[in-house]
Amino acid sequence: MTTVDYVTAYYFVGLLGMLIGTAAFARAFLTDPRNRTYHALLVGITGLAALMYVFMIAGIGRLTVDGATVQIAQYGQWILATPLIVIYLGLLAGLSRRYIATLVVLDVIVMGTGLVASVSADTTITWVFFAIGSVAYIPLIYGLTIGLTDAVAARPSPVIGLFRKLRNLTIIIWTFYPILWILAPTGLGIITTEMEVLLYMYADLIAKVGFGFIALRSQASLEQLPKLDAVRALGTNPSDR
Amino acid sequence: MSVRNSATQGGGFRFSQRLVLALSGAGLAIGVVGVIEYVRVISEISDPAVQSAVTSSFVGLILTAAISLVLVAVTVGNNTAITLELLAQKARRIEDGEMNVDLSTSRTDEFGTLANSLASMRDSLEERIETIEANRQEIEQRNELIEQTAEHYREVLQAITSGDLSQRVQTDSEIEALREIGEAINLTAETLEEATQNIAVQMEHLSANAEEVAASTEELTETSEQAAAVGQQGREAAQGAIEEMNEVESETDAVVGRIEGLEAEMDEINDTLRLIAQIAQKTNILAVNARIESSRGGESGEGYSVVAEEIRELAEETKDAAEEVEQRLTTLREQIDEAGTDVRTSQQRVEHASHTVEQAMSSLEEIAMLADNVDNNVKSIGEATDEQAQSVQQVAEQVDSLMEIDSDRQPTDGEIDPTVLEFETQSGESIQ
Repeated sequence: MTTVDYVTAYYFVGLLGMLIGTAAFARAFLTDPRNRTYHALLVGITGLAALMYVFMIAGIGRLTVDGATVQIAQYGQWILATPLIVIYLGLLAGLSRRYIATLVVLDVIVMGTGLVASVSADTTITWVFFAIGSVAYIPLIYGLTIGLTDAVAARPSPVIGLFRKLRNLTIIIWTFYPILWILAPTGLGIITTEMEVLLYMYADLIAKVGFGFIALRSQASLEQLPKLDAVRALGTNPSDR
Repeated sequence: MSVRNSATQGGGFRFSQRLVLALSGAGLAIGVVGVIEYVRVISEISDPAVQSAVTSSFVGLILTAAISLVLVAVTVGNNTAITLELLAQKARRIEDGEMNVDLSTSRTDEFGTLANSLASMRDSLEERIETIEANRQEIEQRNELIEQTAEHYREVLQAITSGDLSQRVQTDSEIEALREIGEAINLTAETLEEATQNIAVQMEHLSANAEEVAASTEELTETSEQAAAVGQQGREAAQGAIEEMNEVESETDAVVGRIEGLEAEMDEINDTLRLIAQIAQKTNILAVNARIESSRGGESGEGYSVVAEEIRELAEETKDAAEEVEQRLTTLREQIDEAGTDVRTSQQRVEHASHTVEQAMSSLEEIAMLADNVDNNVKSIGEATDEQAQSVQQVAEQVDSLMEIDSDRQPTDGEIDPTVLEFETQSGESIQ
């Protein structure tokens, strides 16, 4: 079996996982109108990921930079899906729109710099952007942990528990991505592309599908949130905040 | 996200920290074993391409293990830690008295059991608190009841103190002790009422008695005045008697004087009688002499002798008559003496009587004075009795008004009757 075959197989596994997740979350979205906003976000996260996996399988957005393969769709997935995760966490914690927006911007910067770093053939630019991304990652983590406002404390305790669980999972798993990035051919090249794809796929499944299922299992927690809370936080009613 | 750390017991690590330590240890162990195996394997491979592939595999394996550990840590460990902490928070909220903490759980594992145990503990605690609260409310109600009853008793007692003796407390209290107190109050009020009625009756008696006394003293006054008048009359009579007696005395004195004069006359008669007797004696002697002489003369003398005899006989008769008169005089004298003695005795008796009458008079004077005194005293008694009667009358009127209040008053109104106020002022005055 060739390297490409393995990689494609991994992509398929990832796609399958994402599809299963999407199906489960879509079902929840349809059966639980109360927490539609949350379920919609979950569907968005895994749905986008699944779409990007399809792109990757199809070879759309595949580049070869400095001898290494770069999947633009992978970054697209991250750039598009991770803000949804941030929004999800922000809504769960009851953060203000401005706060969530700031976190989303930081997240997009982190992901965007990663993309630039990976597509750049110049090693210096690669590491400069990687450094920028890493630096931007610090306030993102800070904003999701220590910098949280008292809004979280006002939440019912099961919601707080769920938030902390998802937040911890997200942050720790996300921390693996730059490590992988460094070890992968995009960085030092210690691990092979197929191993890189496998690990990314595994991390993706945990950070998105695992994330979603943990959230779904704690649906009781979501029931404790005011019905229109999430929608309002998203800004459908601007006069509110 | 700040986590309350206050519940951490003693030293040592928190559950999550220990979990992280354990998983880190596991990760380290995997890493060390992986590195050792990698070094061992890589040293036997000479092909760089294979070496690179093996390196990639080892690193991938270690990373997979690490990611898996994180997954375990978050899904199981973190979950456990968070669940425990949440339960602890809820327990603390229960501790703070927040009984509506939601402990419902869909979990069926040990945490579900723990949450259910906490919930049932909370429920039991709540039940006990409710019981205590109910008890407290019951006690409060009871207290309120006691207060109300006490207030009612106080009002009734105040009314009784104000003079409305017909007031009675309601003894339908649920509390035994209060009921007993209420009955005692009622008994006291009843006794008081009876006593008041008694006093009213006694007062009337007293009033009647006082009137009787007043009447008696009036009579007494009249009697004593009569006594004084009678004494005065007696004194005047005595005075008259004394005067009469004085006259009797002076008359007796005159009688005595006359008797003494009589005696002197009798003495003179006696002297005259002695003279007659001497004359008679001398006549006798003369007769005797004449007879002798006649005898010498013979026959002429014989006529003379008869005359001389006659004369001697006359003299004898005269002597006898004088003697008889003397004897009668003596008898008369004795009789006069007796009469004088009698008269003197009478005089002495009159004197004595006069003295006695004087004494009687002074006694009558004393009697008059005493009667005056009695009169004065009786007058004082009369005044005192009048005053007393007035006082008694007042008291009787007050008691009567009291009784009227009793009968007039409706027992339930708590206001003070104006007559009671009047009574109060009256009694205040009567006390003064």
